[in-house]
Amino acid sequence: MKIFAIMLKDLRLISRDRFALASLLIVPMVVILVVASATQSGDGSEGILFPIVNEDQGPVAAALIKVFRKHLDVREVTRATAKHLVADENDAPAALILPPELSKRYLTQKPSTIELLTDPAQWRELEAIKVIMLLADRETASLGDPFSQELLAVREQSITGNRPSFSSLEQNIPGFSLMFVLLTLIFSVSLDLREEEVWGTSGRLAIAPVSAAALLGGKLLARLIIGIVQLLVLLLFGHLVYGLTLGHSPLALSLVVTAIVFSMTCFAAIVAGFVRTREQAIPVGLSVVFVLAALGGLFWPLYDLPKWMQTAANGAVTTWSMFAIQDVILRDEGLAAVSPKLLILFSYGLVSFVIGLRLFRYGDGVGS
Amino acid sequence: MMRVKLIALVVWVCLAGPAWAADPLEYTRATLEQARAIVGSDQTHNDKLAALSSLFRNFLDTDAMGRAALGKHWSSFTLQQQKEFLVLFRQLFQRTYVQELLLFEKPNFVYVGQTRLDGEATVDTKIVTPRDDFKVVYQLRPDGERWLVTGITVEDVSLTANLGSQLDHLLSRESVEDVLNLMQRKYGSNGGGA
Repeated sequence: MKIFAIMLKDLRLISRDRFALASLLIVPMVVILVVASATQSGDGSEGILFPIVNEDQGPVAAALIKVFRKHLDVREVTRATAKHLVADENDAPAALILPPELSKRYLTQKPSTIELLTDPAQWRELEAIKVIMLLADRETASLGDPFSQELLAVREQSITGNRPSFSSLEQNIPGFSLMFVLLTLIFSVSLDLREEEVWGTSGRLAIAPVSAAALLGGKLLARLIIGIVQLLVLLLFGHLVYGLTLGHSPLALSLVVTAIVFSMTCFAAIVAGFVRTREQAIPVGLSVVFVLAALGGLFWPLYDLPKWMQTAANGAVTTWSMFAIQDVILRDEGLAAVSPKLLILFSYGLVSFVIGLRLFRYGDGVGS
Repeated sequence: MMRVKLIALVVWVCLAGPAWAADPLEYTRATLEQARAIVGSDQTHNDKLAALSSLFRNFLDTDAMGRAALGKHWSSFTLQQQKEFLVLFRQLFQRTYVQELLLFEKPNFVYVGQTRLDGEATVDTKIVTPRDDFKVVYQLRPDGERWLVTGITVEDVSLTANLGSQLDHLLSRESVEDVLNLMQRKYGSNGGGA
């Protein structure tokens, strides 16, 4: 009977935390919805932007473009715009240059070379494009290449780095590293604030002559240092065990890691502001991490997501973190090139800190 | 419904064909304008292919072109192989020509002129696109009251010579049987081809 009495007492205690109870069901449902949307409702390859420079303007180019349009988001642009979309904006994984006289050469059975300017960091999207190019080549070959000669040769050129291709590990290691750093930060910040209340140290800190900003800032600073070390060690592990490249600029890499962890640490303060009990920390923390990881391209490339989710991803800290880390380690970019993303991440962190401070509740009413 | 449309188109092609034309330019124009109507129609790709093949059956002398394409290899084929080759070459050439024509969504033919020499004729045409012109020259010979095309040159490259060099390349590596089997697979009655 005692065992049932204890059980009933605990159930009463748990039932008082309605937010935690609701989180047990609502949060997994939200995660399932996001993951299901990402994996099943995506636009597939049709969401991949594929700039084409049509310098031929002839029937063969038209036939090729017609096939590409069935599978990709084709945009006919100038050579400069194509390079900008691939190399500067990273909006497109590759651009195709159809040279002048392509149609004339094809119709007289003379081989031509078409250029594919690539961003190998977007390797999944690039693979999808290459499959569709094979399909287009086959379809066009059936339109006037009787003995299936190689009338269209593709010359691939990376315009975002020195390497022409990457393995899936080189996308997954940074992705999973970022996810675990975010997970650690959200749990450690949320649980730490609640545990200090349990230990009673929050009360003492609350009456200490220290501002809420300094109090929260100090706590976040400790997590920032741990997070930076954690992310650096994880990337180093990937480098030593799996040969992950870390770019050519240690300074750029260090600043990117710092900016990422800074923005994530400050974002964790917002999440901690919503968590009132330790019981709430687990479902809320997990859901935030999974949703942000799914949205930000840590599990799969962004083009897999439906359009509305791709738009929403622009507001996720994970998206910009992934962009920045890919710029340094996959695209081999230096500090100057990656600085706009650093600025975004630091700004994201500062804004998050201000919001986190507004939500900050500690001890007996210190803070807000 | 599509089948009915296809049959109607084929019947129209046969009935409206140039029954008699003394002038090779006019004969070519009549055929190509019918081809243009087919290419520009809203039929499916395969229906257009069938209609165009039907149209060109009485316009292209594929036997002469096949013999020319084989060149020195012609004599190394047995009589049976020669017959089989000419049947397959007809399919190959028609499909190649027709498929190339289908690359132009709405071909705009321009008839430049004709020259006659020793009873044979050459008709100069152009396929005009917004950006470029594609020069296509037809060599024709009289056949009763009609004209038959014995050679087509696209941008100064002879389709027959081009196919001939590909066949020559294939025959230098593979046996006649192998080449016929390859053509059978691609252009035979059971082959994919199109």
